[in-house]
Order: sequence, then structure tokens, then C-alpha cells
Amino acid sequence: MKPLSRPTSLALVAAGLLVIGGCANSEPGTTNPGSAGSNGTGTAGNGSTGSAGSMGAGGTSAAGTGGSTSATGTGGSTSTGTAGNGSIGTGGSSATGTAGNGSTGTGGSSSTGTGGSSATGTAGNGSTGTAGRGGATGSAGRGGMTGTAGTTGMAGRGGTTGAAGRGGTTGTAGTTGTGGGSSPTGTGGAMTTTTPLDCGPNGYVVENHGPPANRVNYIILGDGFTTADNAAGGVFEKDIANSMLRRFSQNAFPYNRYRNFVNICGIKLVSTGAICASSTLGCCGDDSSRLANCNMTSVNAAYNALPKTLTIDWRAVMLNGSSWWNSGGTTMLYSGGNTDAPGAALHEGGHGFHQLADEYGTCTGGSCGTNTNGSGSTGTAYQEVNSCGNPKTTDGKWDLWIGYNATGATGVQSTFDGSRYVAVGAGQYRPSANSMMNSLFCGGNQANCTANTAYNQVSREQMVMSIWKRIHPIDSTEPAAGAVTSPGVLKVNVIDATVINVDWTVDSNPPMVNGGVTFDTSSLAAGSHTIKATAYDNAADDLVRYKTSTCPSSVTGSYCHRTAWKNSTQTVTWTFTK
Amino acid sequence: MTPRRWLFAVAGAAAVALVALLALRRPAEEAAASAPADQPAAPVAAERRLPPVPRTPPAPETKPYKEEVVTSDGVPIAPPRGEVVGQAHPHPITPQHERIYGENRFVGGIEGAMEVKDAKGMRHLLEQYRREYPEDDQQLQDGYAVIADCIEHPGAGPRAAAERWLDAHNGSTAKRYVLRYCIEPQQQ
Repeated sequence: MKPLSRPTSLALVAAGLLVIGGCANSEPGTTNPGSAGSNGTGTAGNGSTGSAGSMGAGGTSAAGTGGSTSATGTGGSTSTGTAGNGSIGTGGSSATGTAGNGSTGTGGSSSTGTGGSSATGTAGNGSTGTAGRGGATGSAGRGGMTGTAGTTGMAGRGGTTGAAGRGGTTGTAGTTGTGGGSSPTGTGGAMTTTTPLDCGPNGYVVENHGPPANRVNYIILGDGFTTADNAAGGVFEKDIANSMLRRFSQNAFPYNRYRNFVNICGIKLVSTGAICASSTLGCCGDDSSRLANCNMTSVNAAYNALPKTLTIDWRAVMLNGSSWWNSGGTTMLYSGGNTDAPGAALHEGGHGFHQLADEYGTCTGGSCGTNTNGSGSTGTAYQEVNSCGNPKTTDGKWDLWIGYNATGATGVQSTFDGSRYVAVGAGQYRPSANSMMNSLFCGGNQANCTANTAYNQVSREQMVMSIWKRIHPIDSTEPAAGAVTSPGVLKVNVIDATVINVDWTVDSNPPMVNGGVTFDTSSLAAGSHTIKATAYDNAADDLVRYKTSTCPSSVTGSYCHRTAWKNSTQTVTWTFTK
Repeated sequence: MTPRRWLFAVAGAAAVALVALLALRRPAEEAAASAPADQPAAPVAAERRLPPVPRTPPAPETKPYKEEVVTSDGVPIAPPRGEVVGQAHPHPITPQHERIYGENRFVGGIEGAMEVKDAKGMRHLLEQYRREYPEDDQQLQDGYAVIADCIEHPGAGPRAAAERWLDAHNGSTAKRYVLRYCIEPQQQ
């Protein structure tokens, strides 16, 4: 079967690029000559000796001195002013001002301002502001602590120094490490090092957020893509980019919240022919069932050939075609060129990666299968967390969510009649009127996805558990935990300090709640000390309500994802004598 | 009894027998038709007897496509081409769908047992998983067995087996757990 042409999706991507291009160079930066190097009132922000990066970088200062600029390097940062500007490098960061602008590089970050933009690079991070948009060939930045993510961004973390934004679709991820931003109080910025993600010789880094050993690694193989399709900016990259738009939109929350927890590689396998003909993985589909299928021997061989440094958690094959052929197995399959391909990837990921059920029976969407408010006939308690047989108890699956109104998403969480292929009135209930696991379609325009096509609260919670099943909050500590000598500043490098809080406990004193990622031991009295840092997911009750790490007793075997919540807390301990 | 009455009597008896036969058959057909909806949770679902799927997928269908556009409830299934406007079922529920989701439940169940280090529970589910999905398309089963061994009998033997498994299954999603339960504990 020959794949159809895809004018609609291409038009969408083209429109997206026009939007991005329209925002380029909207915020010209200024140049503030100053001293490079980090200030010593707190822990160093960017670069311990003031420079980092491949082309030379300006330093940071906690006292407000503007950083230096370099003609080919990175703008500096300042705690109270406007950041410097690298003329062809990376914009600087600013604690209270507006980030600088790299004219061809990477926008800077700002702790209370707006992320910068760049013409061909990547926008910066605003820690309490809104991330800027990327340039014509870059991509949007990422919101910071309380900011809003850019709407068109994707891809890996960019920048060689400074609190860089994310790499763009055609941009380049950082190669020599990422500096942090210094805070206004001089307690030092979060300094994370993002090492390059090795997706293999055919790999295309879509999202790089850290070491594969402590990230969920989502690997998407392409099938039916020719050499031309795999070229930079070609069909493969555009189809991936199209899917990422919805993945990181509010519609697919909480993927945006946990964006730094998931690395994504696209694998550009070259096919000499189309799907259903002579493609490398032998993928095709069936119009009647709407299922896609591939030669799994070839698929497994392709995965086994990837670098051993990758720990693959999530497998997907994207078919080069526009048919509505998708499958929700452990290796999920979807047609990348379909208008609703982004929704297909999310729906099938719900099945294959999160083990969610379809939330429809012989009725679908919000207009049928009424809210029974806990009443109705009783049916079987199946394993999937998002369908229940007892509307009074929800089989223990979402009783804590009953009555919660997911505003701007799936609305009231309750017991809606009809789910998991069981007809209305036959004893199977879903948590919300509609959802991503029900009627997920956006009428051909992802921007117009109705709010109720989001994941409902039960699915969202399961998604969080699926992540914690695989990883832990802390990447590393400085110095290594255990017995240490004259440690000075203790530090925990967490996956994302906006998602993970750290409480510090000194000896037997009450903990300092959410005390940041560093602890200065200089103020401690002489003697022996035990310092504990407990890092934990700060998800509030609007996202996670089942925090006991136990499964509903109704689930056969009592096995579920909820037990993984315990992995979301991690404690490290240092001991030393001062 | 006149021949005519006898004929009526025979015809009447035949009609009653036919009605009785139909009445007996219908529940069985309905039960069969509703079987997918009644599939219990993973461990019990494993008791279903489905034919094994060949290791390579069947050749693409060549018969003329007959589109199923509307289900019994009148809600359309998303068409295999073009855009969807309004509400639709993402897909019909076919035996193939049921089989895929049945495997997902095994994966979820076994990994749930693994999370609480219930090696016995893992083995119980794995046995059913192997029986129902002998093709092991996701290259998981041997990895789960290795993990159960490592949980139950940590030591050099299971670790060596884990290393051998890792050499041959670099792309398996069980790799993270083989590392976690077999390799990393002995590195500490």
C-alpha cells in the first residue's frame, strides 16, 4: 500500500516555522563589559573560574557586575541588570532583568524576566518568567521555576555555558557542559552538566536532559524514510517535531513538567523503499483494524545495535505514512504523517508505556455515558488503573480523585459509565467524560485540541509513577556522599530543581525544608556532623494523591505502578568532623 | 389420529425443537461475542488460550479493503485516511488489540512484582506470559527470568547470566532492571 502525500502536516510545520521566524530578534540585548569570573559570595554560578564553553564565556557575578562579552563567546550575567550579549555566541543570564540575546547563538536566561530569543539559536530559560521563542532555525526555550514553556520548542538542552535554553530542531545541543544561573542572593546557581547524548551513528538527538542511566530514554525508530527524508529538516525530523509540539503542550501534561526526565532519540534508519513495500523494518498496517505492524526481528535488531550507553525504556517505531495505523504495545507503532499523529503517539504511549486502557465501550467521548457519581451496576475489577468495575469504590483506583475538577483539562473526575470496551450500563467506568485515552482528536489542527482531550487525573498520576519506576531524583552529589573531609559546600545534582525539592537536616535538628541544592557547612560549629539531603518530587495533590506506594487491593496480584512512588524520594548522607 | 393431524403434530414438534435449539445457542454466541470485554485482569487473563503468533508478522492484507466506519453504537471509528472531525473511536477492538493489551498487562504485572521484589510472583506471571506469547517479540521474557533469579539468589551465577543476557539484548526495555537487580548491587 502506498503512503499518501501529507500536505496538511507539512503545512502545519511550515506554519510553525513562520511563527518562530516572526519572533526572531524581537529583543535586542545590550553589551555590558565587565569582569569575567564568578563571584565568591556564594557558590559559583557559571563556571568555577568564570569561563566555560568551547568559545570562551563571560563569567557570572552575584553582586551585579555585568559579565563580559566575547565576540565569539558567551555573554555574561548579572544579578540585577541586563545580561550581556554575545554577538555570535550565547546570550547571558540575568537575575532580575531581561536576558540577553545571541544574534546567532543562544538566548540567555533570566530568573525573573523573559528568556531571550535568538535568530538562529535557542531561546533561554526564564526562571520565573516566560521562555522566549527560538529563532528561525532554532526552537523555543523552556520556562523556568514558575514560567511557561515556549510553545514551539523541543530538542536537547543547548548552550556551552550559561543557563542555556534547549537545543533547537536544527540547533545543536551543548557540547561542553551547561552552566547554571546565579541567584540574586548569591547562593549559587544550579550547575548541571549535560553531557552529549549518544543516540548512535544514525541517531538524532531530539531531547537531551542528562545521563541515560538516570533518565527515561525514549527511542523512536523511523521506517520507510529514504536518505532524502532523513536529511536535516526533512520529513523524519518534521514528523518528530510535529509530535513533540503536542507532547510538550499543556494538553499532554505532565510530560511538560517532567520534560527534563526523558531523553528522546530519533533513529534515522534509511529505507530504500516505502512502508508496505521494501522498508527496513518491514512495517505496514491494516485499514480494518487500524493496527500498524512491523517485522519485530528487524525492530529488535535495530534496537540491539544502538550504543550500549543507552538504556532503552520506551520503544516506538514511526512509520513514514499518513494512514491511521497505530499500535499500543511495548514497542508502540504510529504513522508519523497522519494529521493526528501527535495524538496517536500519546494515546498509544498510554497503552504501551503506561499500561492504560481505552476509556470507551460502545460509546465514546463526553457526550455519552453519563456521570454516575458513584452509583451503577458493578462489574469486574481489571488490572488497568483507569477503568473500574465498582463505581462506589472505584476498586481503590481513583477514590481520592472523585469530585476533583481538572479545570482546563478533563473536568470533573468521577465515574462515567462505559469504559474498556464494556457497554454503558454493563459495569465498567472511566474517570472522566473524555480524555486522551478516549476520543483524542483535534480536528486536524493540534492548536485546536479541546481541553478534554488531555489525560485525566488518573492517567496523569500513572504517568508520573511510570517515570519514577525507572529513575531517581539525584544524579550525583558533590562531594560523594559518605565520610568526607572539610567539605565546604555540599551539593546534590537533581534531575530538575523545579520539580525536585531538597530538604537538609543537620545532625538532629529539624530539617530545612526546600533548602535548595547546596548547603554551606562553613557556619557549622566545630565538632562531628551528619548532614542529610532528602530530594523528593514536589508534586502537589493536584497531580499525585496516592503516595503510600501500595497498590489497590482490588487489583489482581496487587501489582501496579503506584509502588514506584517510593523511588521519588532519595536521601544521601555526609559525615565529617570540623 | 388422522394423517393430516399427524402431520401437524410432527411439524409442531419440529418447530418447538428448532426454537429450543436457537434459544440454547444464543447465550453461547453472546458469551463468545462479549468475551473480550469480559477478560479479567492480567494474571487471570493469562489463562486465555490464544494461538501463538508467528515470529514474523503476516504479509500485508491484499484483499480489497472494506472499511468499518461505524460501530454498533453509531460512533464512527477514526477513518484510516484523512482527518477526524468530532468524536470518534480511535480504533475498533479486535482480537489483535486484545492480544496486544493482554501482553501489556503481563509486562505491567511482572514489573509490578519486580518492584516489590516478589520473585515468586514474577515467575508465576512469566510462566503464563511465555505460554501465551512464545514469540517474545519484545525480547523481555528471558530478561525477567534473569531478574527473578537475581532477586531470589543474588550472587555470581545470576550475575554472569545477566551479563550474557545483556550482551544479546541491548535494546530490551528490561535492560534497566537487569542492571538494577543483577549488576549494580554488586558494584556497591
